[in-house]
Amino acid sequence: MGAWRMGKGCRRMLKIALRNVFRNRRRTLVSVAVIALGTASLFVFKGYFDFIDWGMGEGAVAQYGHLQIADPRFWDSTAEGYEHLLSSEKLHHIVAILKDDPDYEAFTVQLTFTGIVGTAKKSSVFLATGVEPESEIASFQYILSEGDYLQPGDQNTVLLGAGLAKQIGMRKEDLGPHEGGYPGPPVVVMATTVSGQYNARNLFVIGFVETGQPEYDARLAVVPLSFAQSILNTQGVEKVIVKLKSTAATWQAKQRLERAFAKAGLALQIKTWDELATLRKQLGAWFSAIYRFMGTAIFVLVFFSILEVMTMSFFERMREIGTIRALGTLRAQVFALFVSEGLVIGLLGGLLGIGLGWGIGWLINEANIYYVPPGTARAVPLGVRLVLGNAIGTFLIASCSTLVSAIYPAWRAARISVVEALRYV
Amino acid sequence: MLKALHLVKDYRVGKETVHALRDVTVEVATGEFLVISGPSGSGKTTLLNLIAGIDRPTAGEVYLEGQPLSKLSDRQLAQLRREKIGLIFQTFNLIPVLSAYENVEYPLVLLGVRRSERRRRVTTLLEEVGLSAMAQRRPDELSGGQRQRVAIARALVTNPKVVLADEPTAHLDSEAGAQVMHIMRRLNEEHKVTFVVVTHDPVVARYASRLLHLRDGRVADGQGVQENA
Repeated sequence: MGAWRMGKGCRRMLKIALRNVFRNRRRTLVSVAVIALGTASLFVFKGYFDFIDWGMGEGAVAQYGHLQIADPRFWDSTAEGYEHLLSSEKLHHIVAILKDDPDYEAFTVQLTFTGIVGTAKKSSVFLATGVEPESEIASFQYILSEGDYLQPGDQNTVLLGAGLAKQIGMRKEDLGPHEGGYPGPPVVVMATTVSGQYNARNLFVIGFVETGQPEYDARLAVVPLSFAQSILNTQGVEKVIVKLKSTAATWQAKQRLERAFAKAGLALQIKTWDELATLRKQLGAWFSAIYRFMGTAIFVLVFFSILEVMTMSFFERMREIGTIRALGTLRAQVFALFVSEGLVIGLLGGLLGIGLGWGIGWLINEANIYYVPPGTARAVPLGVRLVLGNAIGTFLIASCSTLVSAIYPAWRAARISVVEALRYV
Repeated sequence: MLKALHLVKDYRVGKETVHALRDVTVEVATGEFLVISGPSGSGKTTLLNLIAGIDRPTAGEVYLEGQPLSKLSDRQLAQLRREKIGLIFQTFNLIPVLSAYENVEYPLVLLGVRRSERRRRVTTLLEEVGLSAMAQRRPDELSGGQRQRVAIARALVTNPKVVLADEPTAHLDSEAGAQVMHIMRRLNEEHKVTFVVVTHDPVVARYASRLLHLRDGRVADGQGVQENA
């Protein structure tokens, strides 16, 4: 019975709260607008950060594959020379285990080496990656800016990073047509074999590639794996890159494969795409810090906005508070009344803010805006991820802030003496 | 029915102690229409606040139907006010965002009275104070006299044992004031509800079944204790 009465009383309190909210319309509208703008800003920025993070995640999968398998000495750089290379027998064993995994889709191998590349006029150091041109996931990480990709069966061709090509004086006109011979002047590649002897070969440049990172492009070369193995005089490979059926399966597949390799007595270490994408991790942490800062700023903004409204309301309605208390309204009900009023304003502002933010995000996505981020060479789309989780999270920040800010005025309203409140002019 | 025995109320104003009530004893019998008059600062409102249980005395005791108010907690006092006391204020003190109907209904909602019963009681009382046609109007759409009539209906809607009115005509013109007092007196007689009215308006005293005069926090004349009560 008591709870029923309390419930009825609270419903009436809520009705009074709703009406009070619109009693001073201008003040309420200003508060709602402040909360809505804060919420919309936070939602749009969170969506923007998530879009970048999502894009970088996709990019990382494209660049690194889902999993990379190598000798532990490769990962911690403790290998002497090329002792970390995986032999063809070991590779055969690895592939057999990989193909048994339910999430496995494809694999490729890589072998990197450094050396000097040059034309008759200029030369520069390079970091070359030997890839399998016949593999469907071999050249996925590079964006071709000129010419052709490596083709299956290629042995004496090379893709140069756009920056490296410029450094050694290679122009678009020097790219030989891929079919029907290589009329252009070759570049000379020099490197040391796994046993430390100098080796040099001629290669024909068939294309220029970009990764979006100019510093990396200034050293980059991509060659067929057979060429890399030939110039290093080895049959080994450095790492195995695995593509899975889905990105979501990454971590489970990693655990399964680790167990399988350990069982087979293979000393291998697996890294996932998100472990390899260190820049994404750093940016993610940075974005999180900015989001927390903005969240705090919005929280404070909403907090003081509501606090001001509720405090003014408290003083304006002192006598009303005294009256309802004199009529037998409980302190808890008065407290609930004021908190409800704050919450109504917060909920209105929050909902409006999410709607506004969603609209702004949609417009940005529809506008197809591209920009070049600092430190990169390629334009990327400007987008906002519109996901319900972000909307709920942002809305909760605004609502919690409102709730917290309404507590103090509500507490004062509930604690004031009836006589003092009735006497207030 | 109502006893206020040896009430003392002191206030601290800075370093000074103000003696608002000095040993006031009042007894009120069921169905009485007691008017307590006195000049401003004589302690009328303080006495009414103590009787209503919205303030606590420095010394003395208030008994309502034999129940000492000093023994009750804040929550119990709120319950007592909901169930047994009707209050009428000098400045009407209606809830601005509620209609006349909803203002009268409010104490019944606090009591948990069912909707149909609420409707019956509110409608009856609004009729009795002559405001049926204005039930849906908000306080700011009513005249002072009409607002005070709504307040009277609100005070009576819970069938209280006693209605305490603090200067109910102070903010009304003489015609509206007379109308309000007439209604209060009629309801006192018809509902057999005890009324305690404090006022400094000598006209109000005409409606009293008993008159008490306060001066400087003491009963100046009249009978604080009704001998035949």
